[in-house]
Amino acid sequence: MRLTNLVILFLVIHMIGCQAKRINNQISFEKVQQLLPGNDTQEVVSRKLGSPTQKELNKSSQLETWLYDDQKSGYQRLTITFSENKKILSILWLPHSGEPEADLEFIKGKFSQNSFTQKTIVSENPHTIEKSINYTSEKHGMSLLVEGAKETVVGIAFYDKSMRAPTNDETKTPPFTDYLIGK
Amino acid sequence: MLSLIIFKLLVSFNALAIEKCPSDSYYVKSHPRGSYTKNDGTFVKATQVIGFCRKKSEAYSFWSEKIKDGTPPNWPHINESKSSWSESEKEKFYEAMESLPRELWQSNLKGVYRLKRSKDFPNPASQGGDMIVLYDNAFSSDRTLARIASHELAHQIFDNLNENQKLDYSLATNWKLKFEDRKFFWEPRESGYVEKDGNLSRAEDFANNIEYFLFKPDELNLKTPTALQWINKHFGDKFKLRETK
Repeated sequence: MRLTNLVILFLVIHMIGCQAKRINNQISFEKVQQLLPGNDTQEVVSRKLGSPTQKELNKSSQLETWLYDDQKSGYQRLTITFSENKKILSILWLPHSGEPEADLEFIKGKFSQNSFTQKTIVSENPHTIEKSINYTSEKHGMSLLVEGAKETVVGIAFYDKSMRAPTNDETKTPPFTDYLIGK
Repeated sequence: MLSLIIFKLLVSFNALAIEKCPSDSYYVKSHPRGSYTKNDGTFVKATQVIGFCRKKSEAYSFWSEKIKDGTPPNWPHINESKSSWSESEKEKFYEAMESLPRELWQSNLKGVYRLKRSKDFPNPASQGGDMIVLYDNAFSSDRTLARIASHELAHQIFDNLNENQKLDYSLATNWKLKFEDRKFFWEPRESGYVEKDGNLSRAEDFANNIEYFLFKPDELNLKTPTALQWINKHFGDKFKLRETK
């Protein structure tokens, strides 16, 4: 009898685990857009998406971040940062190659009500120079990270508009004109 | 007067020699060559090289057009002063290139330039805007010229990767894309770097890892096995140093 109980307990735990995994498997860009920054809590996120792969606490801000890895590759897929009152502060989605949201024109069309402002970000280190482009709609709390000559959308962020604005907002003059317009 | 005559004779001898080189060869002018160490550890003594015809190597055919004097166009480090390639340096460069896997020979590279000293001395080389710069100390460093060049060529490869390949490398080697204070940034992994500056950027990390993959693979495997696996998967088994004569 005791053994039967143990077997049942094991099966129940296994089923709960599968359920959580199944929810996680179903994470999609459509589902992510249903989350509301500034409104939805950790509980809501957990109910809609399941448990995250990893939870992190930012050392300086003390804000909690949930990371959801892609089930197939094990790579970072979705990152949600919560404010002190456990509500969503920002959502960061990493599109996969070939997914429609990796295409800048698709995103611009899908969010045509958003008025994006474009800004080139140049980062230098002693040996090399890199650049990327940010498209931001302050009004709608949305930002895109775009890289490469083909303008691939690498990251899509939705954020609570009360989120602190960047403190350092300088734009450098690009050093290599031909490099920056793409090869 | 006598020295002028000797000089003219030498010049005409050189010109004659160039003409005499067969079409599959090029003329290496007489030059003093400092001692140096090859990739395989062979020490090469200093000597005075007498002009001769050398058979055009694969490296010569690919790189001779890319070797350029002067300052690279639009070079951002305006206080770095120009230098020029010596005959000896060119020969060492061809030899170094010959030893590197051909995947590092990126055809869209516009030029390999010689400048005197990096603004970040003792940095021996830099890359940007499809150009590579080798500073004076690249030819007298403890690291071989091939190793220094492999690092800069790896930067060029990283520039040439498409965004999905860059993303794949970044995530595979545990870089995380973050969004804080309305700004995107790549957060370096906490540890596992073959060189300290690997956490400056994904490009620097990539270049270091390619360099170590070729020259110190055991160390790369120990510190960043995910990078070793990614490079193996991306480039295949043939991506390794080549034996040179």
